[in-house]
Amino acid sequence: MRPTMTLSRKIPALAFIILAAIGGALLFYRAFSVEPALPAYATVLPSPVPVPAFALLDEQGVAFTQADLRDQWSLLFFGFTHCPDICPATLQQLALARARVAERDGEFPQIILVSVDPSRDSPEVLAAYVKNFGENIKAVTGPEEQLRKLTAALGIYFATSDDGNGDYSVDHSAAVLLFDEDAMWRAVFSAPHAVENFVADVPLLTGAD
Amino acid sequence: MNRHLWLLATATLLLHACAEDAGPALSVTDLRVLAPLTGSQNGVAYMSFRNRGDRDIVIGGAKSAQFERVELHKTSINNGVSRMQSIDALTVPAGGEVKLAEGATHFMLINARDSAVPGTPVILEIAHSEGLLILDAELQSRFSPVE
Repeated sequence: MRPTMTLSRKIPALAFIILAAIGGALLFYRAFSVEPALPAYATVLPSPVPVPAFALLDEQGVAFTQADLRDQWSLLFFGFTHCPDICPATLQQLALARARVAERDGEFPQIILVSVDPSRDSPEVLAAYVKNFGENIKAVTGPEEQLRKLTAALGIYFATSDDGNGDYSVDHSAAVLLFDEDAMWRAVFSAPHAVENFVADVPLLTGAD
Repeated sequence: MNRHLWLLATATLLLHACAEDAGPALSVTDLRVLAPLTGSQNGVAYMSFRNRGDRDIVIGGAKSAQFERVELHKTSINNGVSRMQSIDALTVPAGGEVKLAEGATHFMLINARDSAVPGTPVILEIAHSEGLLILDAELQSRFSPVE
């Protein structure tokens, strides 16, 4: 007569089979599941922040308000045209990043320069200036009170600084801010900037990849 | 007689060697002079200064016939805020090198006088503690590949 397995031996065996099945399922999940990539350079806001109401003019002299940030993702950079160094460098980096993403058929947010030097940066000056960086780059500016409505809500600093020769510079936050299609502020790229940082993170953040 | 000729030759060789080493201590490499962008009046110059002398060299200022003013500026980013400040002088240490680069120290070329477009000649005169350094260059586009 063949010996039968007693209950005292069946329980450990069953427990082993169950644990092995769970372990196997976990290994399978880890091997084949795709975890979403996280941005390496941008800081994502814990909660999206709505853009306050503001009234500026774009480089064509047309009104530009918070409503114009809707229906597409936007990257905003705050600078001025008299700056020969970091401002054109940042716009150049954004334009190059856009070109690199387009090479792999990706979409890129609209690029917007917000001039914090309305005394010298008229819409006409801005129109000529942004053309240096390619097509479809917008520039906006306006009265200081309207600029402050926007910048204060976004933690953006700007202030004029006399250069001692009757001229002035403008100190300003160097961050690039990302807004979604609902005009909600979603992420910040902090300076120093690099083309690769935008190429890597912008498509991740916008879901364009 | 042979000894005198030998001494003369040695002295000549020594003088020749000294003459080869007696060039200016301050030199420039990696010069990029960028033309103002359309819509802007200001250009910028980047370069590396090398001091092969045994004394620090202080760069005091510069000028260019193509621009109203040339100033040494330093861009700094502190707590996320970019500031561009005029600086009075820049020291290149003895035997050392100082680099003027994007996002850092640079010459700001203020208010272009005539058409200052890429391809036009530009002369920069840089005053320093050992004399004057004259750089003869061509305005480049910011979008030209960096060599």
